[in-house]
Amino acid sequence: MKKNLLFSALAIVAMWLTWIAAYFIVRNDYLLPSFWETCGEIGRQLVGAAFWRAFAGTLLRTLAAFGLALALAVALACCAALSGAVRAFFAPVVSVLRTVPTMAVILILLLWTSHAVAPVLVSLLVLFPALYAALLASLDEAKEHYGLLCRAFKVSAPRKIFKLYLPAVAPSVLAQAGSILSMGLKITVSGEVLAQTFRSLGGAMQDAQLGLEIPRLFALTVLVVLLGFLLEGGCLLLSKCIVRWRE
Amino acid sequence: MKLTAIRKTYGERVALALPDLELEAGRITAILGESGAGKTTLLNIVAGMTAHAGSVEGAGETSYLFQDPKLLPHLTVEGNLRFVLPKALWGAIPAMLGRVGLAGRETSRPRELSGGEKQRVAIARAFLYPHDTLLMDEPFSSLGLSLKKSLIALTKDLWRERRQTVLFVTHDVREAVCLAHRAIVLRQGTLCGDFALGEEERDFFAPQPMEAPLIRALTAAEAP
Repeated sequence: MKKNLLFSALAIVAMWLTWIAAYFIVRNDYLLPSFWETCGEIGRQLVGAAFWRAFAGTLLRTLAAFGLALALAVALACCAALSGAVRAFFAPVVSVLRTVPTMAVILILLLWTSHAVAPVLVSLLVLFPALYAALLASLDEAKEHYGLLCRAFKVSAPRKIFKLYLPAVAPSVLAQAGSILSMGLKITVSGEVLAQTFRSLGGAMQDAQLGLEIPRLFALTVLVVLLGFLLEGGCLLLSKCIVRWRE
Repeated sequence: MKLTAIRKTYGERVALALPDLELEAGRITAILGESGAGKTTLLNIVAGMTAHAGSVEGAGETSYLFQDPKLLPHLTVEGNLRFVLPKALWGAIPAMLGRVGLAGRETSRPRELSGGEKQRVAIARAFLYPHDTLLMDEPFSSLGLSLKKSLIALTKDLWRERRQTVLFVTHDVREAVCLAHRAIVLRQGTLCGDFALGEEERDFFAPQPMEAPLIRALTAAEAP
C-alpha cells in the first residue's frame, strides 16, 4: 500500500517536472505559463465569487447529467435484463450513442436547446451507454447465477428487481460511479466550452482563451482535474461506506 | 404423474427420449444416471422450464432443491426464504428453520453459514414453497458423508409430514437406495432400468444389496 502511494507520488512529481522542463524549452508565456504563475492564478480563482458560481453551475450540470443517465440506465437495463425484445430494441440505440461524435452532438443540441441545457444533455448521452452496459453486465451475471432459482420458484418481476437485481448491481455500479462521474465532468466541461455556457467552468475557460489569459486557462484546467479527483474520491468513499453498512 | 413420449433434442443431438412413464404420487422416485444422461433435463421438463416434445400430466405445482443452495448473498436466511415464498407463508419460516436445525439463525447471512447449513436453508425453502411435486437435483452431491447422511435423514423426515411426490436426481447409488422408493436409470438420454426399492429404512453407511443391479444398469456392465 505504502509502495503504491510512493509510485503515485512519483508520477505526480514526474508530471510537475515535465511541466517545468516544457516551460523552459518553450519559453513563451502565451503558449505555456509557468507552474508558479498558474499556482498564483489558482489562488486568485479560489478567492473570487465568479469562480465558485461557475464551479457550482458545472457541478450541478454534471450531477444532473449523471443522475438522469443513472435513472435511465437502471430503468432500461432492468427492462432489458427481463426481456430479450427490449434488449434487442436498445442494442442499436446504445451502439449509435456510443459511437456518435460528442462535438457533433453538442453542435446539434445547441440548435435545439439552450446553452445551459446542451452540456447536460450531451453528458447524459455519453454517460448513459457506459452506465447501461455496466448495469446490464452485472444484471446478466445475477441472472446467470439466480435465473433458474427465480424461474423454479416463479419469483415476481418486482421482487426480482428490488430484492435481486438492484442489490446485486449496486456494488459494481458504485465501484464504477467515480470514474463515470469524472468522465461526465469532462464531457460537461467540453460542452460548456463549445456552448459558452454562462456561469460554468467551461464558459470561463473559453473566456480565458479568447482574452489570452493563459495562466487563468491553465488554472481552470487544473481546478477541473482536481474537481474530477474529488468526485472520484467521494464516490469511492461513499461506496466503501455503503459496503460496510451492508455488511 | 404421467410422462408421455418425452423427447428433448438440441439440434441433431437427442438429449432425452423416454418411453411412457407413470410415477406414483406421494412417493420418492430417484432418477439415476451419470453426467449427460439427461437427468436434469428431465427435472426441468417436469418443472415446465424446458421446451420439449411429449407431455407431463399431474406434476401440479413444483418446488426445486438445487445442487448449489443458490442463496442470495445480500439477504439474510429469512430474507432468502421470503424472496421465493408468498407473503402468506412468511409466518411459517421460523418454525421451518427450527425444523431444519437453524433456529435462531434467521438474521445470519449466507457467508456466515457452513456448506451444510446453506443446504439446510435450501431444504427449508424447497419444503416451505407450496408444491405438489418436489424436484431435487443432486442436492447432496457436494457434501461430506456424515453431512450427506444427516441431510438425507432430514429430507426423509420432512417428506413424511406431507408425502409429496418427489423426483430425486442423483448419480450416487447409495443416496438413491437410502432415500427413494423407486429408481429409474438413465443412460445417454434413454431409460435403461426401472427398479422398485421398497419401503424399508436403510443405513447410509452400510452396503445395500440393491446397489449391485443399479450399478450394473448405470454403467452398462454385463451381469456376472
